Amino acid sequence: MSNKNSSMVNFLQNLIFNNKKIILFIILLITVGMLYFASQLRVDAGFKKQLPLQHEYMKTFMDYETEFGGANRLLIAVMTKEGDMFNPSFFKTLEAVTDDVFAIKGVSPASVTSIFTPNVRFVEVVEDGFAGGNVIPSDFQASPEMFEVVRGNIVKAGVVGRLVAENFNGAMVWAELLEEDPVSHKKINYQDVADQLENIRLKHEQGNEQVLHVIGFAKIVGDISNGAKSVVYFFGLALFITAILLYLYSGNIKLTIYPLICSVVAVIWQLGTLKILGFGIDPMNILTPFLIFAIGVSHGVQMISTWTDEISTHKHGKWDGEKAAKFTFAVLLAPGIIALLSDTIGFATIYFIDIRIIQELAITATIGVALIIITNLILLPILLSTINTSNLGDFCERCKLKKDKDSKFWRAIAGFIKNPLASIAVLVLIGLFGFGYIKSQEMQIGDSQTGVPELRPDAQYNVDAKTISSQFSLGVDMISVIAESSANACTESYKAMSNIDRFAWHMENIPGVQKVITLSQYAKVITSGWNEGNPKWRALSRNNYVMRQSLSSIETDTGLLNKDCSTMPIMIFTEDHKASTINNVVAAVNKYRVDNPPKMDANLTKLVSAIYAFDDSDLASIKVLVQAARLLSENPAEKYSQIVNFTDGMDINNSEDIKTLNDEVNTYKLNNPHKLTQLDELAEGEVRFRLATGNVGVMAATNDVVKKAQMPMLIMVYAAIVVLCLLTFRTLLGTLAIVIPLALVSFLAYALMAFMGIGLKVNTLPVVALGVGIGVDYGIYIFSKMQEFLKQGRSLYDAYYDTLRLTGKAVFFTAVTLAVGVGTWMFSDLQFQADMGVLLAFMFVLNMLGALLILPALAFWLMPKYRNPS
Amino acid sequence: MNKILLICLMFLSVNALAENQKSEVMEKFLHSLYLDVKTNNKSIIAVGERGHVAISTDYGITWEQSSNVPTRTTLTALSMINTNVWAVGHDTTIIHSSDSGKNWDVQFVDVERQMPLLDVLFINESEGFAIGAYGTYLTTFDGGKNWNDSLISPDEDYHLNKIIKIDQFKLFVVAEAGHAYRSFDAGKNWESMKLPYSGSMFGAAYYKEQLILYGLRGNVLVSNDFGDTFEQIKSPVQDSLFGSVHTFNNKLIIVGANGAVLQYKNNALNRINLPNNDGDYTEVLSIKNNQLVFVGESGISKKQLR
Repeated sequence: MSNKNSSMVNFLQNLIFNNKKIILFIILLITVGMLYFASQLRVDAGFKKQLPLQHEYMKTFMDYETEFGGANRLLIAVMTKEGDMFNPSFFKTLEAVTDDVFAIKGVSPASVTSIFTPNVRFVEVVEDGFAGGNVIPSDFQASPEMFEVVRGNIVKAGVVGRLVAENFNGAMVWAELLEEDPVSHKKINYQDVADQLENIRLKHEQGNEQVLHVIGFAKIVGDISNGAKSVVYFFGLALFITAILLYLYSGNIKLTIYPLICSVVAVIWQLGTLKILGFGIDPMNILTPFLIFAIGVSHGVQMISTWTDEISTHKHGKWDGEKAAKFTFAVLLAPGIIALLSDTIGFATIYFIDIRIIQELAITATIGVALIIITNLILLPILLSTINTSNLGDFCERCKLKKDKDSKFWRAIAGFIKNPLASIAVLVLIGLFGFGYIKSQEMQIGDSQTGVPELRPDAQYNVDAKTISSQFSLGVDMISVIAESSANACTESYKAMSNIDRFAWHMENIPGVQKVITLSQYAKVITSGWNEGNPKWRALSRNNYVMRQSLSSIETDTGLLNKDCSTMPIMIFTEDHKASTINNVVAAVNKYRVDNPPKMDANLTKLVSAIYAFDDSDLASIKVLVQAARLLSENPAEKYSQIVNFTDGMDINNSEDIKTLNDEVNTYKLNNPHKLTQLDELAEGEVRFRLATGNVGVMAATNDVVKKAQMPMLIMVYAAIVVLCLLTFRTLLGTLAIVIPLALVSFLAYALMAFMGIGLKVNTLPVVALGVGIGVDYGIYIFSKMQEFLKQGRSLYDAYYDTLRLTGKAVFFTAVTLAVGVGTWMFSDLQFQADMGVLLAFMFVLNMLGALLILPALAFWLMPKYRNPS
Repeated sequence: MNKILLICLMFLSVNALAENQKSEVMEKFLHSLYLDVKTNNKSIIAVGERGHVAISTDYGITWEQSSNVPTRTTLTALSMINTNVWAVGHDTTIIHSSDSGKNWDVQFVDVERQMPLLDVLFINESEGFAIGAYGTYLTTFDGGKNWNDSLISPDEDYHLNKIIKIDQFKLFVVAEAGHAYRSFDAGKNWESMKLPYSGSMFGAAYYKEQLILYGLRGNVLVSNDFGDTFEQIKSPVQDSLFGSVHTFNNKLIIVGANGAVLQYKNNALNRINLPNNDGDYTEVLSIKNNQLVFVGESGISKKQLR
């Protein structure tokens, strides 16, 4: 370290230790305040937070969210315990459940659908035309005859497999949840909705012959939040285990408690800061505080280890706690800051993934680590300096004895810094790199399992989901492609409709697709209906009158078309939401789009952009609009006819005319709300297929973002670490010795994920960055100590052996403690916590092994000039 | 000169259409709507939506989709005489194959008319009838090289649903809204008649010297005198009936909407319960070993008749 650095350290040292009491008092005050704020922190889950809103698909999603609903659906299935559904008790329950769903706050009333709701109708053909009505007749009285009628109506309404189970042993209620109240813009409380759903389940299962199955995003949030509460126990358990291990390690009660206090203070500050910044804590991020605690302990152990060493070597004549603390502070300030800064930067890089929930995680973690710099590098030394060392005689005697005794264990480990072990380690490193690389290619992006992977496979939710998808032909996994065309395309353009119909058929042929639903199919069935139900008429008609007649009865609340029938979703129900299934569908959609590119209307595009650029005070923009409109004066589509017709005879120098034009423009804008993504205008009868909404559409976008973010994120994390190491240690080869083992562990972590069937997704992507961030600490502490010894002119082997005795021991201890701590998550109710626990434990242990075994081997090969003492 | 040009243009446009609109061979072709099925005892051919032509040469065990169908329109019916096959459909389309359905060419198409053909019947390799919406009645005497385009009755425009041959001279056509037509002279002249039931009849069969008509909402009419008098048969179903087959073991099976399968015997109808949830059946065919091939909205399925 240069002189400039040490004078800086001296200054800080004096500043801190001369004002101990004031600093302690301030920290206490802050902690009390933060404790208050932290206690106010609420669980805050959201659906949109999980969406990569800047992704192409999600722009489609947002464009049509109000028209076709998003993907935030609730499904409640009422199933009989035995026999079929045609009994009075079942119908009573289903009706009551339907009513209760209406009553849930946040449910869009128009979206509630069951055989009891009026938006489900049947149509039948009779001699003189059609007959139709509600599935449950208004004069419904439970009787065998009436049940026969209802059964017939259910079949005619075409809801078997959707609202009614294939075997008639159950029925479903669907509803769409609005995340924001359309009037008050208040966000709904998912936990509340989940509780209400659970109450509905309890209420209607109680003493009844029916079983309820409830699925939907709100229910997932509820179940995850409930599961996440157990994190408190795991936190307690980890605290307890860490305390015991720390005591065994340090042999002193104060040395056990102080690092724990500092880490807990960091967590409290972190939670308080979150509240102050206006965040809540998302169930998905609930492990971050735990990580902060873990990092805190890991740095704390380095500190007490150095302090103990200092005390027991009698360097300062007396066993003086304060002097030792000052020394510890000075020695560890630089590596500590470097290590914590690289953690901070590592976490901060996650922020560049454009998904709110990940960004929240990045903020949460970054703040936490930044706070550790204060609690661990300032608070802990102060606490250590207060230890009254006069009663520590025995303790230090023991320490010294231990220290002076030659350790076979550490001698063996130190063997890795010379041959033959160094060569073997490098060979193993190369082998593992190869293995890790090959195996990591098998890692899936997205979910690799069915069901909700955040929850255990046997969790209630996943059981419910499995039951529903086995009893009903339509599963819960749906990707909706939005077909955009010209106004009234569904009745006026045979070309557009047959294109959509052909697209739907192509989608139906993709492996993994269960069923496709779109307006053209309904048009065909209804056309056949108008021809007495003869299936030979089940085709799209070229006759506009026939199409208008057929589609007149289809309302927008079916979700099959928008108001002017220019937009029609194609709902593609898939068997599951595995990444491979999603990729198949997306690839097929893209292929169809490439093979059948829509033609654009350049004049229309010009006109629409002129309309949006129109400014009645700007003559140039008026001229542009008028010119664009005049190009279309021949035969303008209805949508534009007002503007076009008006511009035909107007005088652009007349202010009255301009005012009228402005009114026309505003009318147009009112009727055609600006989409988030303004694409080129389509020529008549052309169709643009846009990916995608529906829960699987969301996953497709998320997978895409995660896949694209993965590499840049890792590159940034590593770049940050490399730069920091170069700045601190001023050696390229040494930096390589630190970073290469880390890179190996990253690959092996991917390999482990492939092996365990954990997909890379929103929840797991950060783990890799966090793992690297924590892993680098070990390397930095070890290398920093070793470099210090090397600078004293000692040989590699001696320097490393002494480093191991002090820092290595601490690193070993920390990794084991943390691995045991996170290892307890394996027993969590939540699958993703269990997965993260395994992954993190794996990364802690492997990073420790990398730092203790591979780093020295690399140092041996990369820094040969230090092999002999100088 | 102008006329020739026009004809040339029309020919070109038919060809251009054919080029663009070749039926697409798809994985799940068996799971689409099929509307008719026939056999010449070597091949079984089924036709349906999107120009789908499914061919089986092993009694319905495996099926292959014909890749050379020059249309994507919905094919509603077919007729087979040896290896010659004619299929008709929407856009007043008639296509022909001389090799049991492998290769096809367009014989007639009129997109502008916006009318479907609903049935086709060839009584030998040259003489055939294609009938359809609004009384459309096309006849040929040269295997479809030339089609004579007319109406079955100059002043009526009912949809003509099905045409059957009773013997060398007698033909019968069932139509919309209780209307029917019969011919005593192999189709030269047609007599319009009103049935006792006012709903549409979708199909007809000649079975054990009886003319059996079936149609809307399960209605079945039987005549012993080629339509002079009819008897209404009590039907066990309310589902419309669309197709029938005279099986190898001499039974008459009638199929229809919502998976309805009925057996007609001695002026009575009985429901046959077969395991299914195939939705609407449109036609049925008898193959060896008492097996039936059903076609309909869920595609093609083979079932054992007990």
